[in-house]
Amino acid sequence: MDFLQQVFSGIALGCIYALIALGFVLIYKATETVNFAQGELMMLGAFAGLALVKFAGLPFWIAVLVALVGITAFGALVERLVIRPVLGQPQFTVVMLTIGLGYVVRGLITMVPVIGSETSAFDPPYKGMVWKVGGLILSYEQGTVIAVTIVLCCAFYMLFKHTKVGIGMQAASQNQLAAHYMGIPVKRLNGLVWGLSAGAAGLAGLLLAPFTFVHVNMGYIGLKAFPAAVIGGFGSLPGAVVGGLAIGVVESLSGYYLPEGFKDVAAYVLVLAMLMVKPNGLFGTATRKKV
Amino acid sequence: MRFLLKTDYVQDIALARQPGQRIWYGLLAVALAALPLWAGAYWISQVTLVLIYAVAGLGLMLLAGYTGLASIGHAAFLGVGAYTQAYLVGKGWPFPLALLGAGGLSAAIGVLVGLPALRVKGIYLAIATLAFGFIAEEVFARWESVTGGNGGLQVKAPAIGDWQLRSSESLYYLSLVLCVLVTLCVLNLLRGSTGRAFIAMRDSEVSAQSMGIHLARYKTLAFSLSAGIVGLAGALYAHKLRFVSPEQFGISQSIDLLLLVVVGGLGSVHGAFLGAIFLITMPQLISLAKDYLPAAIAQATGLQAVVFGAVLMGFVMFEPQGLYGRWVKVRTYFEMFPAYRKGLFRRQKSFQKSERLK
Amino acid sequence: MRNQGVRWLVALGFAALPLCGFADQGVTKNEILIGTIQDLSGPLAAYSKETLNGMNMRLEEVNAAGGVNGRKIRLLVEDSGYDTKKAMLAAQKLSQSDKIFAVAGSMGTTIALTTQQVFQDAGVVNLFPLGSARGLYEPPEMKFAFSVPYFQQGRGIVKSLLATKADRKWCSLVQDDDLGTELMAGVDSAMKQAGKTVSERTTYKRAATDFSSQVARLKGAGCDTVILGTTLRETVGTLNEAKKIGFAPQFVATSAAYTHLLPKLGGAVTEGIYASHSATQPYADEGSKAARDWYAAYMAKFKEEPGQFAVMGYAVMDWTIKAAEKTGPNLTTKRFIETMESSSFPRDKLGFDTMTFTKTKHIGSEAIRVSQLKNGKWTPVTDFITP
Repeated sequence: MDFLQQVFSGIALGCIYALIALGFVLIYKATETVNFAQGELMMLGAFAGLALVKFAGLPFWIAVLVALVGITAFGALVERLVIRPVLGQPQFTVVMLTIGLGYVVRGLITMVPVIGSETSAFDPPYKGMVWKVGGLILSYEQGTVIAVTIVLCCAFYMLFKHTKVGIGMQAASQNQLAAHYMGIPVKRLNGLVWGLSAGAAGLAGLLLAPFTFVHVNMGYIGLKAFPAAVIGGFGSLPGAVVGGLAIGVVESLSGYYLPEGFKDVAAYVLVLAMLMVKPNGLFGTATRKKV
Repeated sequence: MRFLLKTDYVQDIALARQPGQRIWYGLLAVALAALPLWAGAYWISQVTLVLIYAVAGLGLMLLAGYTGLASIGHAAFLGVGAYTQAYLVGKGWPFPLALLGAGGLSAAIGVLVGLPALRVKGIYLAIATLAFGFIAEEVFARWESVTGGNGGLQVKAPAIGDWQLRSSESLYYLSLVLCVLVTLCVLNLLRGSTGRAFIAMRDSEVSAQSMGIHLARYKTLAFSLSAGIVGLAGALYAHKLRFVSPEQFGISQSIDLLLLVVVGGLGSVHGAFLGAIFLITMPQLISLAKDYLPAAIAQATGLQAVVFGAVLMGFVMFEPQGLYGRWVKVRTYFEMFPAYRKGLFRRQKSFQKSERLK
Repeated sequence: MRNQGVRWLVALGFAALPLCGFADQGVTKNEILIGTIQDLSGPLAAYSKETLNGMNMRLEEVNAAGGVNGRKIRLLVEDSGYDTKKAMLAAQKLSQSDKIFAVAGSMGTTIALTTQQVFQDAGVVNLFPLGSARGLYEPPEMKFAFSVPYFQQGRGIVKSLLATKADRKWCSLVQDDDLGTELMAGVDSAMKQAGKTVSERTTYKRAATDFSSQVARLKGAGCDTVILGTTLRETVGTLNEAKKIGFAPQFVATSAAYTHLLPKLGGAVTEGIYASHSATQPYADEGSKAARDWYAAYMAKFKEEPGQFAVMGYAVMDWTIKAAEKTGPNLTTKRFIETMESSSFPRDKLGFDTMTFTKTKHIGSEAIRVSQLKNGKWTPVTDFITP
């Protein structure tokens, strides 16, 4: 029973990582760039929700909706202003660019009066309620995270496989010039992808606020989402979820059964082990250059 | 317009391409050697830190700038060097031996990290080094018998027997000597066959392999050399700060090092120095500028983070060759006047995935 | 060039002797320069802001009344950003460029430990850092501390809990850094004296957000007393997790969680938790008249509630001023230290214990008291206990 409870907690924790990893993988699948500012976008979404509830007095669900829309627009704006000028440059460039963006966002948030430099609670209306299934206990917050992760993963998967937009994104990720010649609006698609990814990040932030509380460094949890994406294989959406779940369950079980300290490095040991065994992750595809 | 007429191969690989450069570097050497005479204690401290970070920057530059392998966990090697030095000096070892020990252990661990690097590329390598960085930080915190755990470790002054280097001037000279040695070694490495192999691997691994460069051997060598140099910097860092704790070698230190090489200019030795100067003096400049800014912004807690991030983004977007690249462009303008064209330094853009796979 | 450098190196190396002198700087006819290293841009920025408010409040009071023996106090603030190398540079700037007389109230245990070496070498006396570690007052050199380290807090907690009920099942959940290790070292030493042991120990990494496995282990062990070595966020996280799985032992935290922000962040789930502390949280309508007046004055001046750090900042400046006044008009570092080593500051309106310093004891008081959070307010349940 204890084992099952820990596995359940691990699944809930893993879905948190998976939710953030989905955002990364989305951008990577569409544009082959990595966004190191995903954690900060998540933090921005949580702060947006908090500010709307605290300063504008909006009810919880309206605040969440407005915050999501706002963050999506912000993501598209970031793409237009910051990412588009460096289109076509090596991957490392965009990585450094997003790291810089993360710094700027963190700095700007601390300048917000009252809530910027403090820790605040952003409680959903279902705070504290729990489900009791047999001997297992799952809180409503955990359940929401799991549900949203599954829904989002399916939605993105459908987007990429079965819609014109999705196939256009895949084409653009392989050869931007050729996609452009075929009439695919590559730049606009990039904007859309960044917007969607920012929206996913904002949603993750709003759902995570009950666990991590809203403060300027809450985005550091995004650093654990990288191993999740790598384990699953960076170009695979279901892979991101599987990777996140793997890390969550391993962390939860090692925290319960193994001596202290293992819980914290479990994610990183797992990712190194995966890279030794399968360098491209569980579902990733190996790419070779033909000479 | 200035012409460089070379009649000898030796001229091609000489360190100073023009006689004028020898004069400028000579003046710099004199100024640095006589620094304690004309600068106060505060400036000596700053320059020492700049030298230490320049050495660390050289290490990372060798890996990221010249071999093209991005590493987001390099502060771990800084930590390994610092803790090794703290431990050995604490046991009474003379500091030259301790420095060798710190650099050597760092290099050995660099080999260990480099081995998985042989199989993974690009972003996967970056994540692997990130993971390694976190694990190293955890090891520093857990291995209490050696590292003192989270409480940190006091570092004794460098000493050979009874002769101690306690004053900040002596530490400055030690850093200066070490920095000059490391720079000369790196420059020599780069103009030899090893350096050329690194550059070849950066530009195109497939082509390098076709030309007969043994990828595994040179990648491992790059990792270990880079780690060793950063380890030496870490040893000096330990002596400078006199106190080491695991949180000093976490992800923010790694990102500081990356900031250093990118802003300085990826792919140049000068870039390491310019980046180090930027990293150490920028906070002071921000504090000075605070007097001229409106109170609301100046008192803001996040001002430094915003400025650092904005500068990084600005350099990446508008001047990807960094501070040194800007200097090269200015110098080329004057050298080639009036024949300078804007397209001389145009960046290569690749829109095909197959082009991005090197 | 190289030879010249080597000759300098050798000459300076032989000439370099340990610098343990007194600086005797920072005191002019009209001014005393006091420095402080705060975190203005990093994780502890909110605490530093409060501390500076408290320090400035006391400073302005004394300057308005004519200063210390005719000299006004000027506070020079440097930003460490919670980064050790910046803190070190700041310490050097303050001691060598700005030439301060003393440094007071430096924020952050790691920062204080790193910079105290610099101040020691520069001959600047180091007063009352806002950090908890034995290295901040031992060995008794040019430094004086007030903040009770977690070792003593651990001992005090165990003593006070044993006094109310001797038969308990003890467990712990602590941060895996010096906060946790020092706390557990203190707890263990007191437990050994009483012939008891801690049944279940768990830890978490700093800034962790998930405590499900740790709390599950504690519940599985059947604990009824849990010692928490946690800061604000983690305390609320643990309490939430415990409520979720229906685990309700007696939780006892340390001064790291004793803050008016705890009930604000956690709400109803924090009700009933105990915490050890040395400084007391002021409230608008609790405590003595002097404490309530102080609260009102702070509110009027800064338009926000004072917390622990405002109290500590005020007290730090207060003790410094008292010691400087006692030293008299001939204010040198040596005489200041001698005065401090024979000083005793009585219990004041802010709720601190009597602070006594001697030649060998450079920490004011090792006593702590325990309070419980009742109706969202911290209410003392014990007097000061000597650990």
